Amino acid sequence: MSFTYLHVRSYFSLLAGGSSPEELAAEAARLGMDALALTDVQGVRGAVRFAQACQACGIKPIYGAEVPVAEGYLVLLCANREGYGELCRLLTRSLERPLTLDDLAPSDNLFCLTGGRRGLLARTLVASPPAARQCLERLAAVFGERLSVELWHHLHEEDAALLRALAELASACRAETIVGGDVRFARPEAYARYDLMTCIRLGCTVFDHMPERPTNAEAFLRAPDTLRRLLPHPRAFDRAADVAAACSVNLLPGHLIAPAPRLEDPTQALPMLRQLCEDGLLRRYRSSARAAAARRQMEHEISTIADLDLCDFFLVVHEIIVEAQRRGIRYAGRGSAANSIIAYLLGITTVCPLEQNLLFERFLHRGRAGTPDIDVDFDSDRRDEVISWIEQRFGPEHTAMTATLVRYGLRLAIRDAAKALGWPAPELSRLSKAVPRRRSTREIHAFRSDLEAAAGASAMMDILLSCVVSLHGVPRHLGLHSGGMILSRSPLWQFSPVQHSANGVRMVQFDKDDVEALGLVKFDVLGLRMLATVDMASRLVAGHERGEALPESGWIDALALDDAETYAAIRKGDNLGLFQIESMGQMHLVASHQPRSFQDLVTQVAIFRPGPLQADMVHPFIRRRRGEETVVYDHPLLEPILRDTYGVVLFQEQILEIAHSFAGMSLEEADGFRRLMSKYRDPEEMKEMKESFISGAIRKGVPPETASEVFAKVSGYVGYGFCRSHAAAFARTVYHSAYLKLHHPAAYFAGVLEHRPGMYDALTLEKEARRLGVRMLRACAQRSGARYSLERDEGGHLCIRRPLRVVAGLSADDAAEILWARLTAGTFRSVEDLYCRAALDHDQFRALAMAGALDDLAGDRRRALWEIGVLEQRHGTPGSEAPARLFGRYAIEEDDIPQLPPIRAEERLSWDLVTTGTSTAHPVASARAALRTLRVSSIEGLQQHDRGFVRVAGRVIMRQRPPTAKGVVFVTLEDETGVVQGIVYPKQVERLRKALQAPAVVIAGQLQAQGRWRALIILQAWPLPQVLGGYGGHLQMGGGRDSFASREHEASGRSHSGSLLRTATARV
Amino acid sequence: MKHLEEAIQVRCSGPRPLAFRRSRRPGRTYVIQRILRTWIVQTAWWDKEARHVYYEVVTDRGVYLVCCRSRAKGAWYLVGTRD
Repeated sequence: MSFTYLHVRSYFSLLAGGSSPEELAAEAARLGMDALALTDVQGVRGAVRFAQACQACGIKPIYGAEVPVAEGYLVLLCANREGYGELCRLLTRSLERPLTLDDLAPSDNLFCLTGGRRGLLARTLVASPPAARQCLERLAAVFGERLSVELWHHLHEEDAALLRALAELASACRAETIVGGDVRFARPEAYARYDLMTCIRLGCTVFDHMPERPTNAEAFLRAPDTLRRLLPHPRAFDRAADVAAACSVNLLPGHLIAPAPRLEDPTQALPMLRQLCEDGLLRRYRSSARAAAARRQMEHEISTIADLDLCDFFLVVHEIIVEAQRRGIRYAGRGSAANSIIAYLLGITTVCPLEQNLLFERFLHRGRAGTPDIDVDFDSDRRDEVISWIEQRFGPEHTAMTATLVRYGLRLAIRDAAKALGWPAPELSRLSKAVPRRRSTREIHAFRSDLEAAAGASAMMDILLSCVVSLHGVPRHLGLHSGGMILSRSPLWQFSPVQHSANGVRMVQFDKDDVEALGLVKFDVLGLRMLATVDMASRLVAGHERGEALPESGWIDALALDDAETYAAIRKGDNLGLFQIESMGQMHLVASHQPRSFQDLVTQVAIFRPGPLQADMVHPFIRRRRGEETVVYDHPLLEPILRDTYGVVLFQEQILEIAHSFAGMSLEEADGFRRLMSKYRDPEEMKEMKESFISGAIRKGVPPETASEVFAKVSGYVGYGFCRSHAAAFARTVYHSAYLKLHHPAAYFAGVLEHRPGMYDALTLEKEARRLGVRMLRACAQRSGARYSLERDEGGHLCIRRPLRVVAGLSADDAAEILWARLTAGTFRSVEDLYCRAALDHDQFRALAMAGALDDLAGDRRRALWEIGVLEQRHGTPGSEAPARLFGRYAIEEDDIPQLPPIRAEERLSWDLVTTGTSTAHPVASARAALRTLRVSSIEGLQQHDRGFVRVAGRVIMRQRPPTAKGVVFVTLEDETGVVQGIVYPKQVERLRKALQAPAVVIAGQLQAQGRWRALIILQAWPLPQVLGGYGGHLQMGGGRDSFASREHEASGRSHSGSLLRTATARV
Repeated sequence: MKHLEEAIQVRCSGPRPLAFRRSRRPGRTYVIQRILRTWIVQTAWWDKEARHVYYEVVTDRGVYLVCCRSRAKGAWYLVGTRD
């Protein structure tokens, strides 16, 4: 084997290497090398991509890493697969704590290089030559003949001297020298990018002098001949070739290594799977007309699963599901897995694929490489419990979460590059927000004028633009995948180092694609707040309305999905707080669509997605459904595929079926076509696919023009769309949420307020609950529990009691402190008693008083606040026994409390908003009389009209500018009577921007109506600060979500609200 | 090293300097006998990028540090001298 570089960083060193593995492999091949090593900093993050790149270039990959040891690092190279595992273990330990030389163990499977200029030996040598000799001797004792003293030359001022000293030291210790390279980028052109990345990593600007920054562009893959002239050490070159020849690791097995299910005989996986499916068949289809079809489908799927060697995987997922069932944890299989009858029979999913006409091949086919995606949503409250059980069952060494590779997008690249180029901090935010989210760095030139408008024209703008482009595709850091849990048959250290995410979760160093390439199996354990909501509401119903001593939530699952009243309520538009259909856009669509059955709900869920929206398929669908437009098919072959969606493409499966049945592609090809349609499209790939689609259709007898037209329609389906199975799985939860809201509103809103599954804040949700006749009870030190709970009032009606943690400044732990004091030693006798028994701070007691949580103890809020003030003076530290009292007096005597004025309605409203973010009265209600004189209608009042010029006022609860809306801004307003959407067309946006950023506004415009749905095309808008009076600027006044206005407003609201409590208290 | 900042005329073989003349010592040629060290400093890629190649050389009149600031323009400087 010829010479090759053995010490090479890629950009998977995360801002410490300048080129991709692909660029490095290609350059090595161009230089005639037959191998190349990848040795990223403290990880093997790029190993899979490097393996694939080397395979493509026809060179041998050598794996290793820079492992931090003591004050420097060592380069460890894997001789074989065992060595790779040892390296991963060592990296895992180095990620947990700094390693010393004592942590290194002898190994026959690793080669050790002493590193470059900042490597352990060179650093030690610069600091102390005798210490360097000791260091080298210790390394020799560990690695023996596998140790080499690394030589390099980057044409730095000190390189020649250091090189000479290292060679002499090696000779004195009888150690071999080796040319490693210490390469940082493939070609000199990448130097600027590498320096920029270094500045970003170090948090400095390009004008700062930092020793870690490169000073020239020489750390590239130099041609071996040139390198030999710089490094006159022929034996060190030979040594590199020898080590390269001795390293051989096959990282990509080409097949899956499924986790081991619980089986006495491992060969019995298929019979076991079949048996479980037979049981499921009996359970699900015993007396069904679909029994025969179900069996046929089951046999078809089992045979595919067996051929793909996935029986073990299905058994393991089944095992997890059974455990969730045993623990009473609500779950719902979603995504394409719901296309499989096996998943249905095993209880992983709950939607019958035959009934819903779902296509198995969208989920799995024989051409699919890797594991199929089985995504299961669990009750978000108990997801961690599921994860803990999985870790326990398979062992912590066999489980970890998948990582996500966070690469530079446009916004992040602008922010980081501008910071490194010296833009001042306040302008960074303006610059990055001047461009849309989720855009490629390569698109930056289109936004030059926006950037100049945001931060002014500057000579550095050209440099910024080129820097941003240079960061295209560069990984910035590793994140945590939302739910992808790896279940490995053998310990994970054989595949990857395991590190902790920012929030302490154990994860591997690879993303889901790399995990699959490594042969590992991932199972998506996702948390869904709406499942937690449905579960809590169902249990509350069982406990409070059905009188069950041990309330269970299973009754909701047994419901038929056909309650006419539920569909009527959905059609009416009472959808605020429901799963998936609570947005104003969805409510508008519901008003047009008028769902009457579960199938309609499936469509409803799927239709409001970027795919169908951008393909302009929504309006044709609605018009055809309403009979306002004739259903036509471009070709008879399309009729069976598109019949139930009125000739319109709504679901991913339909694209797959069109590609298969209309364009004659195999199911595997059709699935590839479907993927291409849904994702970012490469123009070349798209062109090829178009030709293949049209020629396939022509072969099936379709006229060329028709084939082109159909392709154009299908290719309009850009971006994310639902598969039918996913929509069906979600529709079931939509139905459950709607059913609970209609028939059990108190229980449902207790669950919604507890888990907040949707987009609205507590003020809006509580108002909706009250509209349905549910009373909201204030947080109360004597009565509130840890969560939202139900109580019956004097009339026997169920009311929702707020928990103490809703009070500003009280964490869940603080609330638990009060609850625990009450449960262990009885209810509180007075404010003083609570003060002695709960160790909260004074601000927290004041907040409790202002929120009315002490009313049961003090009579009213003002008196409670007064008593707290007296206790602060006389008692001292809360949570302690009362001190000896002067003249035997109580801490609070009746004559301490003067005649206090009763609390006014405005004060109550203000204090409610400041302390809990909610109030019984709506803030706009207090301004209603004034608004009436200004001829401003209430939102409910809009129901009396269906057109014309109108005015309404309300607090802005949401501002949105969806990418699919072509610049239209949607503003949602709420008053004491309801919620309405305002629409601002692009031409009006700039004129109205400032007014619409106010927390409460009056808007005027043309009314639009569809059923009970109302919206205004906004033509005028005015801020309404006087509506908010003394509590203006409170955060909640700005609304829960805001993707339109600047966040600076929100930030100022937050800081202002912090002082409000003190201001309000001072007034008392 | 004594710091100097002086433009010089250099005779090269390829990129390597062979001899130089100083304007302050007209008529005198410094013949380079050996190059002790070479290093490169590349600066300000974000502005007017400059690539400086330094040569520490032994001449018949002492040890000098010379620098080529722009290979294309052939601008050479005497940066310093060692006693």
